Amino acid sequence: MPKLTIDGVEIEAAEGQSVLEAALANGIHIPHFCFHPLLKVGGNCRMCLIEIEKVPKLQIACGTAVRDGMVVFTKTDRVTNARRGVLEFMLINHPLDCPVCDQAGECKLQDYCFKYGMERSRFIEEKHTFEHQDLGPWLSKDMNRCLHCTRCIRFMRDIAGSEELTLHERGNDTVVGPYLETSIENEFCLNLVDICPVGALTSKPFRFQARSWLMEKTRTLCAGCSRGCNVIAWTYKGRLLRLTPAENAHVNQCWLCNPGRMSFESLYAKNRLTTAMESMTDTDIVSALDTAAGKLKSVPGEKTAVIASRFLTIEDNYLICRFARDVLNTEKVAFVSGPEDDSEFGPSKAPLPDWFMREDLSPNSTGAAHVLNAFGYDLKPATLIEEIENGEIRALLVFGDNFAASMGDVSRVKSAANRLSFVMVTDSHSSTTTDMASVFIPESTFAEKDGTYTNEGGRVQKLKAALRPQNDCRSAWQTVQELASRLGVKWNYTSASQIFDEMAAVVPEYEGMSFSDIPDEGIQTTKEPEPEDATAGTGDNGENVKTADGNAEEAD
Amino acid sequence: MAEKVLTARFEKPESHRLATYRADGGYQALRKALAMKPDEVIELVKTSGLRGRGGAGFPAGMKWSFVPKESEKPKYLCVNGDEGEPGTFKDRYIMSLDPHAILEGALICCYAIQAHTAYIYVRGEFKEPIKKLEDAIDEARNAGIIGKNVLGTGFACDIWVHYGAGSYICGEETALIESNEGRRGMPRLKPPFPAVVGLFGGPTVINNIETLAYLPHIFNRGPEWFAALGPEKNGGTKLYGVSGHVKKPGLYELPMGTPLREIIYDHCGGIRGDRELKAVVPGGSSTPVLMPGEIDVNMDYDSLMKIGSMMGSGAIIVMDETTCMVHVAARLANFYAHESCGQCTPCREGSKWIAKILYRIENGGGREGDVELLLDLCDRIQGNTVCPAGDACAMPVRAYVQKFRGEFEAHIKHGTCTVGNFPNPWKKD
Amino acid sequence: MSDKPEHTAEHAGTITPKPETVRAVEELIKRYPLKEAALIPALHKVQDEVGWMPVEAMNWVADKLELPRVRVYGVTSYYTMFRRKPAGRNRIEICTNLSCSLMGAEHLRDYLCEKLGIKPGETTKDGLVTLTEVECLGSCGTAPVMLVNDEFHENLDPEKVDAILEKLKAGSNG
Repeated sequence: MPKLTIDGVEIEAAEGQSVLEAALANGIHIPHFCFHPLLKVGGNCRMCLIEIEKVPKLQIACGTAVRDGMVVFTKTDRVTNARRGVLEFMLINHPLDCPVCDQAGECKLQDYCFKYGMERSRFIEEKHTFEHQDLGPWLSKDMNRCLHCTRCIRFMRDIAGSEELTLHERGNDTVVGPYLETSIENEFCLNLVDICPVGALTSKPFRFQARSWLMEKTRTLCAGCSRGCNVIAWTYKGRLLRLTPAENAHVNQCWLCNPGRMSFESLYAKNRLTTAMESMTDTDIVSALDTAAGKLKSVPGEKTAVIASRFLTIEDNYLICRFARDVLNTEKVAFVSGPEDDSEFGPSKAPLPDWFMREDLSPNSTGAAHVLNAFGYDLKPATLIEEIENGEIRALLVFGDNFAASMGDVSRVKSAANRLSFVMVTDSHSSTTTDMASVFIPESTFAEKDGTYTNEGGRVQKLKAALRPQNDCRSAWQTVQELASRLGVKWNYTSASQIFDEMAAVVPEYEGMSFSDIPDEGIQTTKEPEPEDATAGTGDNGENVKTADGNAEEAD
Repeated sequence: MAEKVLTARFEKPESHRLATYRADGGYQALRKALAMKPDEVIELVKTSGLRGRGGAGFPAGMKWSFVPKESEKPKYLCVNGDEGEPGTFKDRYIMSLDPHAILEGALICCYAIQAHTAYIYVRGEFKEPIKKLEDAIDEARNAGIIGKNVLGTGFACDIWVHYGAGSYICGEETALIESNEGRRGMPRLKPPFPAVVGLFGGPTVINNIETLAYLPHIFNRGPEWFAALGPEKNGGTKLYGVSGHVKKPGLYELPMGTPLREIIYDHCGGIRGDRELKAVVPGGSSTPVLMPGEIDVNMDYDSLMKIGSMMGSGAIIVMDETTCMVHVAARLANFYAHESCGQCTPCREGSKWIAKILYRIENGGGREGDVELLLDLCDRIQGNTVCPAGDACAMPVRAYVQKFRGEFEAHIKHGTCTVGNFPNPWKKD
Repeated sequence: MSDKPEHTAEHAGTITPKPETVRAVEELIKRYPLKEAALIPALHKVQDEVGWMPVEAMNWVADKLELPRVRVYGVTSYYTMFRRKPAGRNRIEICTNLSCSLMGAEHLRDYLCEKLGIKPGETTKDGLVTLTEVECLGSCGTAPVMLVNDEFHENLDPEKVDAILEKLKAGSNG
């Protein structure tokens, strides 16, 4: 392992690393724009110029391979002058858009100018400006702000696999753009907003909604598919405004697909339900629960069926199973494990790296399966429908799943449900299933609850509420606890953490785990699957502390 | 009179034809080389001390020796016929008047590095030289000199002409490779160096046209003969292209190391109209300008480096007392800004900024502090760019501003040219 | 790009070049191990036939070489020899770089502008001449120099320029 010295501090590097990578991995920050750990080296911004002993010219840290015994200086006058030169050159044509630019507060140019730059500009000539170009529904392009770092071009070509952006013209007139006037609608394109170091590419859906420093950040998970990408949920004044990727080398590196990134919009969809209902009429939550409990008492427990859900957390599913076993005494517990038909997202419309979004559009199929298996519940949903039709099942509790659509045969499920004496449904949005409910209890969405999901690769990861639930919304496990209490079984669960720890003792895949010890990267419950196609590179092994745009946090 | 080596055939009628070339002993050197081992060929070239004539002056034999013997990917020779450096006009004559010399040199080089394909990259504007080269290639192919069985020795080598399309930067070796691969001519980061990873990923040598054209002579008459034509470590002759305010501008083949004064006043007949010399660029616009007191320098690589300038392509541009140095600097800065590939920050932004400042000064808008600003910007560009184009802008501008500082300051103060204001040569006043 | 109104999706079609051009391009492709390396020479051949480089011509080359069209677009816009606007019947490209400037090229350029009634970059109203200012043409020893329909005209002065303009007006190629 080569050793090198940076500003007098000896660090160890990995074979083949660049000086920049070695520095960042050891918490030494060398400023840079065009470098990104998951993209091929650009070497064009020249911000990472450093002095190397015995080398006459300054060298770019991103393009210089580490050699054993190398002595590097990043704080000399030569380096300082070079950095200030680069920043000054970048600013001469850069518009003073900060007051109206969404990037403000998370802009590398701002940050570096503040830290390394010059107080005044010496430029009095006419600034070079570019014509405006509309890039379509996702991206807003402000070419005047562009630093020509080419991160966007490298990303589209190498990661998204779609050579849609290129450089046009040359010299000071160089423009980044697509072929003719086509818009960029690649399902991976919003990652460009993250990797653009300035406000040249910003998100149209998010445009102008809040200043970055006013928003609160919560690290949680996307619930759009079984990949379980890690996200940061950004909230302001009680409203979730955007999701950005959180780094997880085992799951999503630092990327998010557009559907997942925009999935938070479901919180505010027209069919969002937040109040309890009886027979499709709003009512208060207590009387709805009372009604439900009353109906359940009137049907033999073993003739009551329960549908658990791959859309709910492990904690939800665990308590649902406990309710079925310990309160209802029923064997008839099932959940739909296949790909969703009636999904908010639907199949991708435009090319997406096919290694990214999963066919299974639910976040917790694997986790739900683990829990139900541990309880020995193996009833197939199709059989459950038959048993409703032949009268074996008289009451149905559906937790968190648009069951009718999941089964793929809405009319059959509807007519089956008509035979039941009681149907209770919990969900966050109205659907053909919620229409069947005589009692409806609203649920929190993924952004409003704590808990865990286990993704398709077998990794259990934590969900953290970014918002408080609205009105009557609650996690399914809280509804279950309320019902149990009304049916004579008093539980005292106050947190998802408590439930997880109890669950871990009885579900073998989670043996020995405790909720508070699950790190941000999650824990593999089963053997980690092979890394996917090499297009995205391999990220790092988690040693580096990274923010969502792939850059190291400042050492100071 | 100094011996003519490269230009000896230029005056012959039909000099570009294979028959003329053969009658003059053409392709004998190639035969000689093919009978040697490739390593021996490289050694011979090293002994001759031949230095690249494109501008950098890097020893050709040493460059060839960097090519690995074994290579999974095919090796290539790229011949640099981009000739875009302002002031330079030598390669076009070799291409038009003696193309077979280039082909023979290219084949010798390919054999030495065991490459089987060579591309002659010629700037797109040189339609006539391209035609001559392609005709010569056809002749050579038909005569079994290029192709699967060069001169019947079993060595295979093909040569093609590749056209440029208007980009000065494509004369830089890695930008040339990019352009040869069908891309925007934007230089690559080094390392890796082209000798290891070059055209289509394979080991590649890039040599200037003039450099290769010397090879047949070196093999025919011996490396020691060649080395002795010039001073130590600067052997051979050089094609000096003289333009500007001399009585007899044109191409002059002279021994390497001829004093600049001799070239201007003896060979070119002195300044036109017998005016005073004001400044002279020694090796193409990217080389720092020289004052009249500096023209006793010998025109070879090492001597020019000692006085803070460069041999470059040997393109000598002579300026007399009527020349406005502000205009010269502004025009050149404009050139570099126009030709900048746009890849890296200092050159993309800095060269355009410098051009704008100089243009403003030239047109009367100069301000106090502009001179210091220009010098500072040159410092911030030089050495900090992906390729030498940043230096090519910064070093000359710095030289003009420093050496003619008084003139710049006067132009700023008076808002107009204080020298000659670029007189119209065709208006009688 | 967006300041060129013709660059819209309406221009997604391709030209149909003459058989000689197609053959020439196919010959060029043979020179390289990868089709994409033939791009710049191929673009030249197509421009020689069409007279300039409309988007439809770029599209044809892209499809012929099996390259993404966006890449061809990026390459064409980098090089100055590819004309993205149609030119007049004749093209005059005059060098005003250092050596030519020292020999009066800017005055010659102004003289041409005056005689033709246009500015550099423009075409005369009758479509006879497009005048452009270009960088060093590599013929500095015979400055001032200009290209007339790609042919070098050297050692210029106003009389020679007048003679060239006369020939162009008379319908020859200069």
